[in-house]
Amino acid sequence: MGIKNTFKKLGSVIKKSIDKTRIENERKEKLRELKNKYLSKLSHRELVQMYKWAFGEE
Amino acid sequence: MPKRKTSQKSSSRRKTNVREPFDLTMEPFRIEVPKIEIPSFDLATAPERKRINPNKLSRLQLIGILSQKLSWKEIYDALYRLKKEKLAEKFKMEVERINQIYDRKIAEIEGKVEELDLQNKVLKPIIDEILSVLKAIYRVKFSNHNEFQNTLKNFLIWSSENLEKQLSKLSSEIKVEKEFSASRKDRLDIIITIKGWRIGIEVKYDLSNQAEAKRLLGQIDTYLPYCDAFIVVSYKQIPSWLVNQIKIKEEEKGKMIKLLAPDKII
Repeated sequence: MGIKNTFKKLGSVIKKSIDKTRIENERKEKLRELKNKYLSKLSHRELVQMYKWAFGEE
Repeated sequence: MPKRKTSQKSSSRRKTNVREPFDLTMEPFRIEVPKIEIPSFDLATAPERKRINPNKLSRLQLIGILSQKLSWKEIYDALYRLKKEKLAEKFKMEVERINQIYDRKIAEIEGKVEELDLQNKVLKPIIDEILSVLKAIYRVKFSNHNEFQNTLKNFLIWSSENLEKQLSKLSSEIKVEKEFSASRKDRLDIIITIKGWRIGIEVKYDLSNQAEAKRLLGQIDTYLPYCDAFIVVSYKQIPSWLVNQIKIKEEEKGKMIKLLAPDKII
């Protein structure tokens, strides 16, 4: 019985961990899509300016 | 012919031919190592990494790089630097909304938050407070649509201030925005963010007008994804066919849509 409960608990912990990872990956994907959506509203010049601020001048 | 006595001789011959596996007298195999020039690790003299000229990158490439490498906060700050404050705020709102949804999911998995009965426990008191403020529109008499439209802006300003006061009883985290736009064609009259929930409000004069009714249905389709609940305030009676259409949408989208008419709340 004790072993059965241990395995049950282990199984639920693993399931929670897998679910959390899946949700985090979904969140990252949604955020990336959102970033793409808003960045696509900018002109090429504005995107270049943003690139230069982020990565330094060439 | 006599037989040769080959046994001794052949065994000695065999001895010279057979090499013992661990015979250390053997000359080791010579492996010729080709000369390879190993570059120096002196960073001071190391060749500089080629910098990418962003002007030569296409728009799509830039979007891909920036969305991958920058965090949402960095993009938000950059939008402000580009003087795109409205876009930045809308972006931040959507990011916060996504984070709230997924934080809630994670909290549910961890067992920290019970699955809430949205209508009864959380949204109902908020909606009741909102409706008590919006009913004030029926105290004013409008003879036509133009008069209503002219007064609408002032009503929205008044309602926003009173909604903030009324809802502060329920939570200190309140944000009331007027004329929220998610598309170029339309704007939502008011959007309230409270306790992580977002409620959209649209105020109409007369929904028996087919054009107005269709426009409202379009607005519900556009703005419901941004909201947890939606309130339609109509100065005049709402036709029953429209009520049915809206209730179908409520079931399809799985989000609460409340209708406030002069004599009832649906």
